[in-house]
Amino acid sequence: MNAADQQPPADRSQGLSIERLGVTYREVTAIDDVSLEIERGEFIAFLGPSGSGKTTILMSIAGFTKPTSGDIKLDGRSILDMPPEDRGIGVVFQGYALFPHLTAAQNIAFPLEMRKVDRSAITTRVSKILDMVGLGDLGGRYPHEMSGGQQQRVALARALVFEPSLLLLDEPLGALDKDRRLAMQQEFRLLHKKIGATIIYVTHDQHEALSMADRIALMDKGRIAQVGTPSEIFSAPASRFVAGFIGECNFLKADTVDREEGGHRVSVAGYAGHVRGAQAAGGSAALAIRPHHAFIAPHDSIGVPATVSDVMFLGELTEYITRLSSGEEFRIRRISDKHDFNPSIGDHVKAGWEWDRCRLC
Amino acid sequence: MPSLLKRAGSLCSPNGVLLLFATIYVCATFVFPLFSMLAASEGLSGYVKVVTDGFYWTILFNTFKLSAIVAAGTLLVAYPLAMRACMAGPRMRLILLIFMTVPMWTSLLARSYAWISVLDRRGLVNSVLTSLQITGSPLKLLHTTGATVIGSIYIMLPMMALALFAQMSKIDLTTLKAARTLGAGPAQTFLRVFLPLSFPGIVSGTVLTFIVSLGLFVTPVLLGGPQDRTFSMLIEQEVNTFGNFSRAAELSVFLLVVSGLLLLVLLRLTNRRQRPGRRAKAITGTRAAGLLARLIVMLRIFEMRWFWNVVILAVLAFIMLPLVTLVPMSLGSSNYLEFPPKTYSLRWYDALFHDSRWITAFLNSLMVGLLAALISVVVGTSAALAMRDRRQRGARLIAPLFVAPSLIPPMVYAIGAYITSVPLGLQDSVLGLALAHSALAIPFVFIISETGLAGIGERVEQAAQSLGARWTSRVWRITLPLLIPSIAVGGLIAFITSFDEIVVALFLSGIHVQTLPKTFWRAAILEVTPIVPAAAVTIMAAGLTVVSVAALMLHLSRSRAGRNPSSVFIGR
Repeated sequence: MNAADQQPPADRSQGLSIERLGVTYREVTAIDDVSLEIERGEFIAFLGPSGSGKTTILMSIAGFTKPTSGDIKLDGRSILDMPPEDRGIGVVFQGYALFPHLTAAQNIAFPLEMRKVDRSAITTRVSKILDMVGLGDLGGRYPHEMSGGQQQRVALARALVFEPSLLLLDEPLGALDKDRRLAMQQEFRLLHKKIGATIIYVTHDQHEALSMADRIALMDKGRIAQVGTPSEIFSAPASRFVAGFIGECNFLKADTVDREEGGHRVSVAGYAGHVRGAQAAGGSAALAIRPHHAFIAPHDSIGVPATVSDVMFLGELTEYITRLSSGEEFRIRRISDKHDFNPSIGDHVKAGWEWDRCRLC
Repeated sequence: MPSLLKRAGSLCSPNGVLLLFATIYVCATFVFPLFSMLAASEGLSGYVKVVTDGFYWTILFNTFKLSAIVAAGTLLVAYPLAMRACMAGPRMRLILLIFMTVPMWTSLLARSYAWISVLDRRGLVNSVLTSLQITGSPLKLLHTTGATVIGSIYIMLPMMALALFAQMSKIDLTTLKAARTLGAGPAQTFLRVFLPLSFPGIVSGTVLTFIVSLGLFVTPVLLGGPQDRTFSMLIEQEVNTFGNFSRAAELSVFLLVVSGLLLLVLLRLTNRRQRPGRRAKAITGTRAAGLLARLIVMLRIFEMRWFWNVVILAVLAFIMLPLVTLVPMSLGSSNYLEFPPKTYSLRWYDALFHDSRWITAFLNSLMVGLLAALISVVVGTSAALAMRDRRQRGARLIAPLFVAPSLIPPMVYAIGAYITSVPLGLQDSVLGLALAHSALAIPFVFIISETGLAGIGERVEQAAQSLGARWTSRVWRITLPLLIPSIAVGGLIAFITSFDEIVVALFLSGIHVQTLPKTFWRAAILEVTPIVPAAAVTIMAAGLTVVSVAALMLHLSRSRAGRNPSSVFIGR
């Protein structure tokens, strides 16, 4: 495609930096001291439960929310005093915000008209981008004559047609059904490679964030809980919140925690092992164990005594819900058809786990 | 002084300029005339005379009593209708909504007059009663308190029904099904779920009806007897009978202050941030309500479909009856009103269309109406546009100013408008009437535009902004085109408000510029020939034609744009 051939000009973007950003609405703190450097061309996802402040950050970058403190810099220059129309940032809004009285092509032409691009150039650029998003012959349709997926593409084309160096996407797949979401996720990644723009993607869907983004900023209560690549966040969660939000996790109260070289010696009901890494600051020590890092064994093996309270067959995986001697619930997941020991409900077993994959938090 | 600079800066923004323009206009045409009455009064001694005179308090009390009865009566008539419309399928709902709103589009004067044709000695009711020989001689129905109340309920019905419907249509009807599955019978479902959820609509509709009823003038004059004098009639009498402007001004201020205080108290009582649940408890908690509820459950009227069908049919008949009775009456060929006429002819229509007074009045009203509509569309839409950004400085504080003209008694404003226009040479002129009428019409344009803007939402304009559109481009290319349906409806209502306006016209319209309502008013009071019903039918038919054509055009343009077509007519 032609768009792929166009190398982004050298002076485009060195990136976006968010510096100690704070947003307060009448006493309520929506964003609390958030700092983040986003490199040029990066695909970063803001992930978090609703109300965690991710959309507020997006709207601050776009210019619709005025931060109460901190700064946002694009290419090293503060953009806070710029009105949204001068920032040149592409935004795909939640629900798309297409202009209902304009056709798809007129919607897409709008930003070019605002930039006083001449008529003939507008026509070619609009038809080129319509082709790129796969809507070649639907330019004459009004938004209400299109399906949700098609409207989505129009919104994307409209935000991309003026070649912004930064593209903000606010839950862009929220209104689509599951199959279409998966297809669009794939397309977004391809598109990102093709246009080379920085993409900031807001979502509450962890699978979407994990599968698409280069980096994830996980938000909680107006703060960034952790920033990292999807695999970092998944395998080395920085806090109990992160471990619980991304993937599933058991949290067990540890009986003793002793510092030793390269980590800690931890014991749960007499079952002891070495856990790598420093203990997360604050809070009583809990051991975070992902269900697929745990295993179930006959009652005469080593581990924590447990009783099977439920068995759920999930397809490739089977989940055992057990109750430990301490009364805590503990979930274990393993490949369904690979084991000789297959306990059933009510059986007394031992629960164990791979110590070097566990975390203290 | 950064904050001062900031404040000045926000006023210099395009929204600030729009807001300033609209505010200045409303202050000049609405607030200033009200204050000019203070100057026209005799001073403190005049007010002391008014406040210490028991007679005025009696009339004031009567006015409040009438308003309360009318508000309660309108609620009783409108509730079943709105509820039925809410429950009905889309087609039935549209029909009921048309029934609800059509009277609103026809002339208020003609609608009040229509009740004369029903209640007159030779009107519909008496002719039915005597021909069935239930009564020997015709009953005195006209010029009674009952006639005033019925006529007023009729006038207030659309407003109340729409206020109720607006609230009811927000109710999730599955909650009713849920209540049934949880063991509540039809009556309990109504009492425990639907009624409490519709309560905010009851409050807003009743308060609104009560406030507007305080200004009742046309209906009690045409239908009431000497005992049904309202405060507005008193004020008009001071001017037109005694020529005592300062007393009229004092009475106006008196009415304004007392009803303003009452409004504040009412809003205080009703506007408390209560959750619907607590309100429900408040309703169901009282003993009387408990008894009533038990009675309703016992009588099983909620299980009786036919009962409710009869109720709805009766309400629909009530809406249509006066309009329908007028037509045969206007076609009578004798020199006086009778129902049914012994012989039919188009004689009175012929006389109407060849009477230069009626023709000139029609043209005058057309001119005034178009001018007033134009002005109020510009000002009302500007105000709504300026306030769409809730962060706009001062917007919240100023908003009530753009609604106030629809809430104060028209007679009070008419006195103020007259006092203001005389020294400016604007009385008895098209411009003067249009200015005064525009002030009265701005609230409707403002509210409809605000509703329209709320429907458009801020996202679309934010999208335009993120795509590089500055203020002017955003408003001209995105917001205004999307707002056209609301502007059209607002303009139409503004035009009808002016075209139908009588109270201001009583003073501001004279020998040179006689408006259609003023001509109609004089004829309705002085003439007894069927030329008046003929004029009423013509006015109503013309109004309905204009509205139908407008609705059709709007519907066509909307279905092209693919948005829900009926929402505009329903309003807030």
